[in-house]
Amino acid sequence: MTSRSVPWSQRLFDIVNILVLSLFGIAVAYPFFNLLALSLNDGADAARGGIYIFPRVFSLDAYKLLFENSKLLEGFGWSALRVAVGTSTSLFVTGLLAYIVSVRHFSGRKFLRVLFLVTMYFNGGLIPTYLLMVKLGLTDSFHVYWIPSLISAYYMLLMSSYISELPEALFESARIDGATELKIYIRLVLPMSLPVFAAIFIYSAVAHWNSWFDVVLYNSSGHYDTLQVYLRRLLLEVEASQQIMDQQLLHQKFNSLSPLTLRAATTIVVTAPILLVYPFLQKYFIGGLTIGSVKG
Amino acid sequence: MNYLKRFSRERQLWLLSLPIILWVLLFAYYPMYGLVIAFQNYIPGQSLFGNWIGFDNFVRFFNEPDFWMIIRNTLVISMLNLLIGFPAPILLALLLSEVKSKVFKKTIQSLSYVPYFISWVVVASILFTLLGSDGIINELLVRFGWIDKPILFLGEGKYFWGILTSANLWKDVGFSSIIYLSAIAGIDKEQYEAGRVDGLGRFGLVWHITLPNIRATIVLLFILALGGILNAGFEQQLLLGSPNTRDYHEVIDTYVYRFGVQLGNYSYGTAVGLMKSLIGLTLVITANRLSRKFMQTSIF
Amino acid sequence: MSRKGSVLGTAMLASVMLLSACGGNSSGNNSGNTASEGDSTTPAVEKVNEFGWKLPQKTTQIHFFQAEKGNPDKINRKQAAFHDYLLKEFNVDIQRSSLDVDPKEKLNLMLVSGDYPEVIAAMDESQISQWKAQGKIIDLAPLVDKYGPNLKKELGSRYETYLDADGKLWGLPRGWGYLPIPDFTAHIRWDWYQEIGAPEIKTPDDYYNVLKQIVAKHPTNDKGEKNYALSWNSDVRIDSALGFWGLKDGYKEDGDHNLTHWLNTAEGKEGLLYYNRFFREGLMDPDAFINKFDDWKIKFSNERIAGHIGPWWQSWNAGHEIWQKTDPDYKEDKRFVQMAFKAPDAEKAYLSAKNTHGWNYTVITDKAKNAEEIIKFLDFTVSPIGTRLMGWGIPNLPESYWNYEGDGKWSFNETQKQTLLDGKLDFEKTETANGSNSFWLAYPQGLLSDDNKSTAWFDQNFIADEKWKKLMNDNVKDTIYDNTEQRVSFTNENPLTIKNQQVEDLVKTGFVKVIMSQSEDEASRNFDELRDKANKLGLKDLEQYRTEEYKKNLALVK
Repeated sequence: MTSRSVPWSQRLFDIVNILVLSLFGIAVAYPFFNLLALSLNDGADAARGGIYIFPRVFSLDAYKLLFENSKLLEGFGWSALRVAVGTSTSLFVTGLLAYIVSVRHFSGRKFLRVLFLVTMYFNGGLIPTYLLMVKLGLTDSFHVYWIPSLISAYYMLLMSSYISELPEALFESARIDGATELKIYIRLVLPMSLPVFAAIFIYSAVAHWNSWFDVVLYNSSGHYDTLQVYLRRLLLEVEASQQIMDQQLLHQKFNSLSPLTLRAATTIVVTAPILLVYPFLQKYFIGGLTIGSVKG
Repeated sequence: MNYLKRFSRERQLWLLSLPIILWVLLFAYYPMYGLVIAFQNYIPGQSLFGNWIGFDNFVRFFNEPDFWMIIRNTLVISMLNLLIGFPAPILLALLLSEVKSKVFKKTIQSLSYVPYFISWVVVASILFTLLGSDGIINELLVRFGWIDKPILFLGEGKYFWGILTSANLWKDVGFSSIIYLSAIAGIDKEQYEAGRVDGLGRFGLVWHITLPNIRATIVLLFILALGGILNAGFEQQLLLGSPNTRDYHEVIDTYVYRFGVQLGNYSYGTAVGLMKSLIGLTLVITANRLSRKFMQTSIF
Repeated sequence: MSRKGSVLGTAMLASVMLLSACGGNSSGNNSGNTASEGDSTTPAVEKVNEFGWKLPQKTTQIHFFQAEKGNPDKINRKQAAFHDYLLKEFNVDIQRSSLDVDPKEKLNLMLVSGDYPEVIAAMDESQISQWKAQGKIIDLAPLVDKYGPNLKKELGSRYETYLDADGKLWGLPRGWGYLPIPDFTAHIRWDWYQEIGAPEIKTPDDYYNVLKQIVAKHPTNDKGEKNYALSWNSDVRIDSALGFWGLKDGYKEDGDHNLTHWLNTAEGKEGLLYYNRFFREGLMDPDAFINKFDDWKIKFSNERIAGHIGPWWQSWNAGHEIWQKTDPDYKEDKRFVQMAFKAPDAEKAYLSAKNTHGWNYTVITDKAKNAEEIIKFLDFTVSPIGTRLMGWGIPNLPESYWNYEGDGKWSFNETQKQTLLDGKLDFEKTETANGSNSFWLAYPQGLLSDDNKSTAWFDQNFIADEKWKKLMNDNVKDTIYDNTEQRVSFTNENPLTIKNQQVEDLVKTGFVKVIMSQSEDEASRNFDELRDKANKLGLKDLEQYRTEEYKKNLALVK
């Protein structure tokens, strides 16, 4: 490509880097391919083990069985809605708070930071929280998925550490021009902080996507069961069965237990959507941002 | 007068904060009344204002026969996570940002957080297959003649810390690196141009431009990680541990779960949790002070 | 302004719109429950059905929570048909719900929030005492006196043992009675055993020698992987595994009914040293204590195990039930068979402990509007014909386990029976059709009182007809014993509860260490060390408490 000579040490570094990252890639990818192979294998055959990267007896039964449950699609819908609503509201409000606590001249800055920091360490525990949700009428409703998780102190700190690095003078001049704080947040801070918003978007989306405990706890009626709840059920069936003391019942339970392959398929089904969405977000932190262009 | 002036200048910010403050008071602070059960012998259903036993629950924790064992395990596991699990995502992010091929970079990046989605139940089952007495690892070790008898990796306590740290690292490193990647992406490209003009090499650019620019994020996450030093995991221990490894895998959370929640003693669990929180917060405040003093960075 | 910013903004806007849209349809969303709402107006004429059940004027509603972890999807699927049947034939609208969260936690939340159903099944004693103290459950004794003739009859003298000191009855037992079917025992790979001439096995040493011969003959499986003489998995209970030395659920009983924990007995030490011998000679699967059932199953089904100590169904599930499906040349004696033996000095082997008191209880809460009607139905389910119906499910369908002609005349469905005996019964499928065992509120797990033969478990009714089950039963029937009186409950008020847990923790770790010792001396040393530690922690207090409770329970029966 270039005629300029690249120092050998740099070239060596590139090679080593690619090697190290490739090895790392294999280590992280293997289990996924192992699960993929398992999920595509025949159930009875898989119980004998020894399946690594390729299925031994190919079968789509696990996926058929999984998608036979018509509520799975409904669950997927609730999950998607939860991610969309939960993540966007949380991102918007937490981002706003992060901006507020980053404004250097704001006297409530430290107060707000500490107010939220404390919530990272202290909570009232399961029972009072549950009672609060009941009192607010949030149980058995979709809103329990996003209102209680609207603001995260952790995300706030991460975002504000990024926002604090932005040139304050820019905001000051906007203020002088008569822009409201909300407008500064939306028109200036948001676009300049895209990388951190994208990162928190992923963290928050994944947290929403993976959560199941609040679903079974607050919406136990099953009206708003998310995808993760169905899949977790299949995954933890063995564990649940182990609590049964009665051996006669256990025999029947294990006879009708979902096979290993079905459990592998659940992991694939949960992971795949995120894997498909991620590349669209990657551009926000691969290329890098030129602040100058925003300033202009 | 001064106050009024200041307030009018900050009026908008306060107005915007108001609903946020109300939210946090309602959803985070109000339920904290539940912490009083730490000083009681609470049985669910009874009134929250009876059965006071003062600090008995706390005293009981210090008098547990296994107290030192679980403290040691908790601290060792956390320290290992901090020592290895904390810098690893930074390193990964830096290595990734040095890759020139976009396709390769994107592929590795996408793969790197796959493990985060694999639940511990599945991870445990994979590990048992790999590390079992006739798993691939033992097979290779025996074949190369490095050992003559399979090692019981998951059956002997002394390997547990290493296995747990590796598993945690493997599961979280990619996912944790996202925040650093975003911080690196936020660095103004002009800075690199200027660096190159100044004759900085690749390592120089990383050292003098990238690292200082993501320092704030690193320090912040490190301080927060210190605050979580008493959280050494829970599900992992329950799934990867076996009676053989109890002396190495039992940590505060697993212990309290079994002796508190499972035996119906909520107060005990709350008391230990409260203590953990206090220690965590104290560590964060101290670390924050030190950081402000020596690194001119602080989180509040 | 950047394009990127507007993308993000649009996404947020879109989701807000979605949110407002979802508010509209969320309430109309159908529940996972299978029930069609019961028709509460039934013919005014009193109707008695073929089971002798007098249909209530108004539909009796029993929507109960069962405090066990379960998969709600599966539960709903299984109960749907039976629910409809009972609604139509009995005018009883019964529905079970279980959740996949910790049931203890869920019960506590129900208690504090006041949001609980009329009937709750599977409560244990300490939960009952908690709910009783809050006045949330009702005394059933007066109702049973009035509407529970079958309950009184079936429980007989046992009824008194469920009453508290004031003569009140807070819960009806679930699954009481004696089921003479083995749970736990030793297993041997049958075809290999026959191959070496099936030498007699009477003592643990015989078992050891036979297994050793077998692995000498079959050192590896066809893939060249090592074969082990003995295996168990992480579910193994050492208390049961010491039954071969005459200990009852880990305790030795003397003539005066004093109980001594195995750590303080010579038998316990002998037993542990016995297992240690397998280990130190490389005959025991080194992963024996680590493997969870699923991982263990892989080893087992790959024919790498000659002997197994554990529950019988494990060797079925992980053995021939897989081989039948995957081995084209499968022959029926390629399987594990259960057998029993005892140490020479032991009077008897005690392997399957049976608690006839029941697993736990069903309670009626203060929310019940019509407790009498609920008790009436529960009383019906306790009668032999009622137990059959609840245990075997809907009769007279092709998928039914049984046929009912009325007037108490019934017979098994021969087709289903044959399928079962052939080992081909698909429980999942048939149970969805007939709903067997879906609503276990109150009935016995033991033999039914009218024929002293049938049990609520369909598949446990043909021991005599099923070759291999008969063999199992003949081999180990003497090792089944009634240990009802040995039951203790460690409630959260009991100061010994914590001590008990501490000792259990210690023993669970310690016994593994003893068995995994490299030499007999080391094993013996580890045993002594463990014993001293446990005694220091308070094992003696626990022994004393158990002895006291045991004697108290024995006195109750007399």
